[in-house]
Amino acid sequence: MNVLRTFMDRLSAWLESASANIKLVDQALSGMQGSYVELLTLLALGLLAVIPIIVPERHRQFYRRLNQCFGILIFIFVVYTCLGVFGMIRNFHRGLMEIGRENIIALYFCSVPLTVLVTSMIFGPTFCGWICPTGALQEFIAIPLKRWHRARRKAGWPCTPAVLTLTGLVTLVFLGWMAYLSVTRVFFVEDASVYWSEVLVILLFVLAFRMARWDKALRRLRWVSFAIIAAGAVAGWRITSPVHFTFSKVYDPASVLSTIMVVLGAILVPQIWCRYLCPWRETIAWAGRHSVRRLETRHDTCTQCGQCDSVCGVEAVHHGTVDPHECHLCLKCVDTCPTKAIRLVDQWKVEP
Amino acid sequence: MKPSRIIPLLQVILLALYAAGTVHGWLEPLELFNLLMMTACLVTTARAWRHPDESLVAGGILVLIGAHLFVGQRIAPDTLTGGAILLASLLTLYVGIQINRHLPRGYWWAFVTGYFVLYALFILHLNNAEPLFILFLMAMTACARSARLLAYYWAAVVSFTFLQPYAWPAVIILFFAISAVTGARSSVPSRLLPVFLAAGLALFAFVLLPVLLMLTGEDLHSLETVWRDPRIRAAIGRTAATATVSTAVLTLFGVPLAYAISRLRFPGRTLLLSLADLPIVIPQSVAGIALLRVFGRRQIIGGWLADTLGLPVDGTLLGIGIAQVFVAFPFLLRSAVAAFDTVDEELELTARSLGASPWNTFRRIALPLGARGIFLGIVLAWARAAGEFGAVVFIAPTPETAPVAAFNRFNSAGMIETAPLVSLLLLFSLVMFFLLQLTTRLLPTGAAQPRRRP
Repeated sequence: MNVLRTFMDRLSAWLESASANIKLVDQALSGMQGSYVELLTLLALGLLAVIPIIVPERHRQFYRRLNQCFGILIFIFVVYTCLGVFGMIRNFHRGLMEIGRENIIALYFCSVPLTVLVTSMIFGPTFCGWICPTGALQEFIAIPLKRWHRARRKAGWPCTPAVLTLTGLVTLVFLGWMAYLSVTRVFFVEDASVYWSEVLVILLFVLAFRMARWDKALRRLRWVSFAIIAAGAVAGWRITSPVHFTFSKVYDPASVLSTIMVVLGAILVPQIWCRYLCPWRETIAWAGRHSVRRLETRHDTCTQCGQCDSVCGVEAVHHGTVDPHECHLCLKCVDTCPTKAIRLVDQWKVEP
Repeated sequence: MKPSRIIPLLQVILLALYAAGTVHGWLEPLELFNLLMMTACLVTTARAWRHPDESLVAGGILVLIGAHLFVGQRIAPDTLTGGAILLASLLTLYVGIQINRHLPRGYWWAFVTGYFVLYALFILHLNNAEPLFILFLMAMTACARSARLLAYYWAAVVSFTFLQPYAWPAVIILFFAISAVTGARSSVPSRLLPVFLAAGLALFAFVLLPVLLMLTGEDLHSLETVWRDPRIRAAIGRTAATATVSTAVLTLFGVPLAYAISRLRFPGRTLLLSLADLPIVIPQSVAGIALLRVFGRRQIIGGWLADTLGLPVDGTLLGIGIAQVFVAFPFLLRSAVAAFDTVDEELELTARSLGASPWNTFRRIALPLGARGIFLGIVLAWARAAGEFGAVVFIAPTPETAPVAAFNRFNSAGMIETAPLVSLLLLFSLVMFFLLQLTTRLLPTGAAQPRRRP
């Protein structure tokens, strides 16, 4: 216990020193004289969202990775107001309520969520696939395990000893960290992200045994997640999001725990956070369903080879048809399709 | 002249302006932003050369970039603001052109008008809201392709700018109305029906607005403070307890009565059914005074109860219960009678003919089949009993129930102080409401189930 505690102390001290002064444009914000920084956010996010349209098709996935790296950098250095997936919802509410009273503050809080929603409604849900740092983190972690994930998916996500061991290890990490937290500090509402990591652990156990059958039903958890955060925003709770601590100056062990849980979860199940728990994903999915840009399959050229199914990280493609509610628009399916049956189309007319 | 021919011309003019600006010193030729803009212009021109069908977009981009380079740069306070404005303008241009090309004319005019309305709203009307103009302009371009989305968008804009303290209730009501009106389908083709619906919803908004306002107005902290107040807690507990007891008494006597009324034909049945509605018709204060006339301490019955049985009615829980039973009675009786009416009498006859006792017939046939209606009546009666104010305040001003407590607090402390209590009570009522909705869906009915369409 004592060893664990000293180790944890050292780790959190190291994290603190590593992420000190991470916001370079700190000075510009201090007085909030103008809307300088937030306009930069708007510009940066807007440009990142446009990039998927203009990159050449030949090395698109490489550009996507690059874009994700830029996304992480921008969220670390430029975007102030994105307090992770949870904070964005809360800030949106707060910003909307400030319109007419403090318009600059309203811009400060609304700029990120509105930019993300707007770009998702026009250019498709590219935020998830091309920019989102949480998604990028999970994807990068899973790169070395690509083959394992594909094999597992092909076999219908069987419950193997390796999976069980990994799940057990993740649980041990969670329990150890919780034990450390419980002896070192008092819990606040802010630390409620711990509940999300708890749910993640439970989810991992469920997924280890019943992934193939329960996958679809469990995705509805995103709604629950969204409802809780939205209700919390109205009621004035602050809940720290996972993958939040790097993006604003919160060096909070509870937040670090939830981040680590997301990363470890993504090792076992690709994009686990996006699939089952991300509350913001639900709004982007809504925006994406109304978006101009979407993926269409020409079934006459589709040979049912199943490559697009296996390459999709969130299992949004089924027999060549893309589910717009789950699609992250990473365009992997478009790039792997040998007959070019899946393509991007712009549809400006809305069917009634 | 084809637009594709103009593009090189525009490019040449831009380059000439750039050179002229450099010579005259009102443009930094080597500043990063300016160089970026010129590069973007050249790329656009090159692309338009290869794809002549995109020349309209390309021309627009050139004009916009030119305007921003030579005019916008000097107006905007800094490069970033200029860049953000340029981005929003380019987006607007792109979406505008696509709307003009692909959608009916009405969308285009809605888009153009929307731009100017937004301009008037955020730049002329509100102070310091220029960046918000950019943001909301982008949001409008996102919604401009669909009439329905556009309606939602304008509802949100109006709510968050003009109806500010009531923004969320307004948004909820307006969104509900829009989704109802735009999603309305009828078997008879009629343009009148959606208009009727909208008119009715406008009235409904008056009902919904106060409720939503009280619900969204309070944060958790003030609710918690109210909940911590022992007086309030006692009042809420007392309300729940008395309402539950009076509903139980009502159920015990009312359900059998309803069964009897439903199954028996007797002289005065119609009169009885009509009289059951009396407590709804009588004003609540009148009911309270009438009850006091009977059960008051100085009256014959009330005095006898107090002196002989030791059960004083006025100012006690018993009095509260009596008042609640009085006002809640019709709700239970009505729904229970209606529920028993839907149960098929043939079933009971069959049960009797097969040897079931009358009690078993009632318990195993009529009661389960009428369960939904009866439960609806019970929940309604409970809600009515818990919410009763007028009759209760006359017969038992103390000990106070929750509605009486809200009234007293309002009288002594005013509206602001009462608001958290009110929203707490509203929350309780909402819980009851959801319970009601849930049970009416879960419990069986006596009527034959409508067969689901395949």
